[in-house]
Amino acid sequence: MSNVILINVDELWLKGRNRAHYVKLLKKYIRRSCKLHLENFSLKNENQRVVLRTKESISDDLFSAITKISGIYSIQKARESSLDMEEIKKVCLEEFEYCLEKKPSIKTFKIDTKRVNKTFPKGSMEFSKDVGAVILIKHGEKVSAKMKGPDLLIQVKINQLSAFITSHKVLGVGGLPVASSGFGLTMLSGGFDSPVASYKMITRGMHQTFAFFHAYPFVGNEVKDKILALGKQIASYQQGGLLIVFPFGEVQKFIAKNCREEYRTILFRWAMIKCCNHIAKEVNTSAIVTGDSLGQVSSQTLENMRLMDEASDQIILRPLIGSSKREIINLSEKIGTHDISIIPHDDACALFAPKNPIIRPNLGYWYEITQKISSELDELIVKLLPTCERLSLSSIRQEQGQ
Amino acid sequence: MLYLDYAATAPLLPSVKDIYIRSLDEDFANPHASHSLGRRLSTEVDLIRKEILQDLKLSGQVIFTGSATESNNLVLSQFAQKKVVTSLVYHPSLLNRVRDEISKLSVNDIGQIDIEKSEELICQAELISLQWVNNQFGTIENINEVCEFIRSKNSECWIHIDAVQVLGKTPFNLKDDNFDSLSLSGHKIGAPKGIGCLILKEKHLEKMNPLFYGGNQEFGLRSSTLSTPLVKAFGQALKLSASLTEEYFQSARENRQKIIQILKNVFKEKAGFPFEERSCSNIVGFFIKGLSSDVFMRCMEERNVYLSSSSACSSKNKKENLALKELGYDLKMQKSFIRLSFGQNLAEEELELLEESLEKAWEDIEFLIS
Ligand SMILES: Cc1ncc(COP(=O)(O)O)c(C=O)c1O
Repeated sequence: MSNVILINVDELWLKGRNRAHYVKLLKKYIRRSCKLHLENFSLKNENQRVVLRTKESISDDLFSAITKISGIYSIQKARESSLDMEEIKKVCLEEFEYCLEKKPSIKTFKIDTKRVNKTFPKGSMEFSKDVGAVILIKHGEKVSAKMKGPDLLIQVKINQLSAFITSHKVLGVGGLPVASSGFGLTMLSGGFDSPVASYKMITRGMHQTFAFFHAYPFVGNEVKDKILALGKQIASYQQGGLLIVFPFGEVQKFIAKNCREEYRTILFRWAMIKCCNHIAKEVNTSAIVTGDSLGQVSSQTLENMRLMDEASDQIILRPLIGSSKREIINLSEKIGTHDISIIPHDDACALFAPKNPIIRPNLGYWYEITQKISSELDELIVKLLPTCERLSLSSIRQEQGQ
Repeated sequence: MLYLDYAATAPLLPSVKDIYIRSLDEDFANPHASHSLGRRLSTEVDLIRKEILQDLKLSGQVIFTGSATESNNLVLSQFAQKKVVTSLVYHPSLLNRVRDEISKLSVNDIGQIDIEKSEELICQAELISLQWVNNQFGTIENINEVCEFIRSKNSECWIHIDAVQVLGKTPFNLKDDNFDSLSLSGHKIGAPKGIGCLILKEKHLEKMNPLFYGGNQEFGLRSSTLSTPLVKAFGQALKLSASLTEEYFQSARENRQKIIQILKNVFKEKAGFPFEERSCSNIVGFFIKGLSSDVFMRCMEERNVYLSSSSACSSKNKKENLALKELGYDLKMQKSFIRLSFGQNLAEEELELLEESLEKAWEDIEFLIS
């Protein structure tokens, strides 16, 4: 008998017409993970879900790789049986005994049958009772049936061609399959916010390329190692990706020489947005993702964000705009970026922090200075682009862009 | 490229490299073997031991080790639970093993021992570890004076000297009575990494315990098969640096003054040189007020000029520079400390390159402290 994993799809009911495309994408990602771990396997669409079958054992690594695939509602390890009632009962008993052995404290259980196959000769309730009876005959002195809140729930799913028996369920990350909503460029920094912002967009089906603005020589190359670790962790939810390390120190020198000290921070940000617009052309992305959260630092004001939007041809997405720091940190723990984000690193912002940063830019000066340096800055960016380091965030061979 | 981090490690000297490579080919036998191949090597190695003592005008026994860190630890390990006296301005290999238990010698503002203030401690000490030349500030200790003072107050006390930064940086003029043990390192003087030595007075040989056990090589103090090529390379590098004359040091000091003048031209009053009074000829330790030395180091690295923003050993430790802290510098000052160190005198073009790189780097970062 094969090992079976049932993969239930999230949110797909929303998108009636695109459904086939979505499932196809999802299967592509599942297949990619499987290929790294299994020699032989099959993936089929059956009754709104994807079924993975293999004769080989399914490692924890493979299982957790699948749980990370965006667009999956839940994953269940299951046993498969023919539609023969006696065989189903036998498999249920095996599953029960397997669970009892793993967790001897089980005192109560419940069998829950769902019939998609209406030709199955018995009703769901009735069949559940039959299965329960088989278990009680053998284990009745140790366990009893319980309908509400049992220690162990065994589900029996009766389909057209076979039945699945499972007592296991792990929730996936949910959302939409990666790349089903397009391609974005995410500004990654060493803090908590940007990886979380990226994760949120991955689960909305956006495949991302990452840009890191490396303030070398103002910060050391250790920062790059940290960003790489963060990028790899995030990219594991989209099966890899590309990190572009932009040599931003040159841009900072240029801006510092040309502007008033108190405008440095916001002009750096503006220059990053410009860089992203240039990079986006090269990597074929159509939105910029940032970790901005309204009011979190003095530069993240509505007015400043509007100035950034003005400077960008591409839309700027800010998935954390309404999130509190606590929400962001909680999510970072869940997705495994928290412990990387807290590694201390050189902070260019602190280094450059003007003594009196402006909260509200003087628009007269803003437009004057940005117009004055814009084209020279563009030239500098274009000159620097070919010198960017391009680092792979995956251990898997990666199909780039579209 | 301009390499100005000789105090961290020096490139191989050409003649050392020749001897080393030849020896790698020819001297592959185990010097502890009893056949003639091995015996030839062991005779050669013993000759080098003698030459090292002659070159340094010291008496005792030379025990080859893997590094000066090992030599320092070998001595310190004899003094567990005993009264160890030393200073936090020294290299961590003199401190880590005993950091929590040591008694601290008083130092003046350039890191030299204040013997009067330390007298009481000196009288109680069983081991006093001294560092002759400070690896960060370049300050030279008045080593003979300090040792004689110790001997006069406490004749039983073991005097250990870390002389790693001495050769090539200041004349080696230690009086033979003034030490019990002394450590040296190959890679600071143009030999490969992986060899150092401990020079030990004969009377102590018997009492010493090794750090690890095995075939009892090196008088039972350092079990491991000795690398003849490393010993030969070390011997050659040591011979060269011990034979440097007073003229060399004179010209090195002049060279150093030129470098300081360049630094002053570029940084004006922003640069401070507190260690000038008693600095060795090949290290310039200085501060640039308000500037992060890490940033400065990287700005120079971009121009292929390599210097140190803190001692190489501690540069991973981003937090504190314990030596500077001990001298009373706050964290901000600690982070603005820069060390230049060089091997031989810089040529005119190199001095020009240095000045030009400093100017450009300064242009890039001046805005950070304006
Ligand atoms: C004064 C001093 N002692 C000891 C050492 C350690 O030498 P080694 O690298 O041979 O262990 C160094 C070098 O970092 C040093 O400067």
